[in-house]
Amino acid sequence: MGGTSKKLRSVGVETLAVTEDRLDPIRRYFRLRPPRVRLATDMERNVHRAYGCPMPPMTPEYKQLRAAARINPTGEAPEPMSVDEVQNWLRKHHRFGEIPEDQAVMDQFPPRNFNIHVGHFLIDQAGVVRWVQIETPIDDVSRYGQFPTDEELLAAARDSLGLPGRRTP
Amino acid sequence: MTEPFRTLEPGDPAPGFTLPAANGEGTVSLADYRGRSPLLVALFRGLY
Repeated sequence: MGGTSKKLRSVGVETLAVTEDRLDPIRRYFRLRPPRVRLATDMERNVHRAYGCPMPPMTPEYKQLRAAARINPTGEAPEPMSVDEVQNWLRKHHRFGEIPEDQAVMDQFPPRNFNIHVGHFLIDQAGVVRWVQIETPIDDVSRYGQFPTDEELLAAARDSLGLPGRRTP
Repeated sequence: MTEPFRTLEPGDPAPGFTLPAANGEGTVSLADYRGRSPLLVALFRGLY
């Protein structure tokens, strides 16, 4: 998100990414791979809940959705794959897991019975939500891994926050 | 069982939070930005 945050800052919008990783492993990880965006972690996922990120339970139906889907969210994979296959492919492609700090991050959670769908929220200076995008609904994985593009975020910031360059309806 | 949830919508007040910084020491709060600048909050899955 480093490039995204730089573009948003150019129009006056700051960026905060929140993950759900345990503090020690994620701090070690980012010491080696410094992010270009301000980052916090919410191990209890209280913010994810308060903001309403879908957390689908890993029911047989949800697992079937993940297995049946054919997605290529970043366009990097050679072909659309199931959710689990594309996640594994992307980990290898980005060489995630090759150093002990990666493994520590990967090993931090026991197998769990739910997932989280990612949410993006634009908040104005008064603390009011002005724009929301959820990765994919709780009962759908077709947009899994697809996050708003820089262009979409910049347009949303201009339109919802009344920044210069706002599009007229 | 699915936890009941309601996704925030435009016009809703953003719930406050204070969280440990992941790329440095200390904490990060929503209040850090209030009155200073608009903010994109991106809530991700863990990096595992």
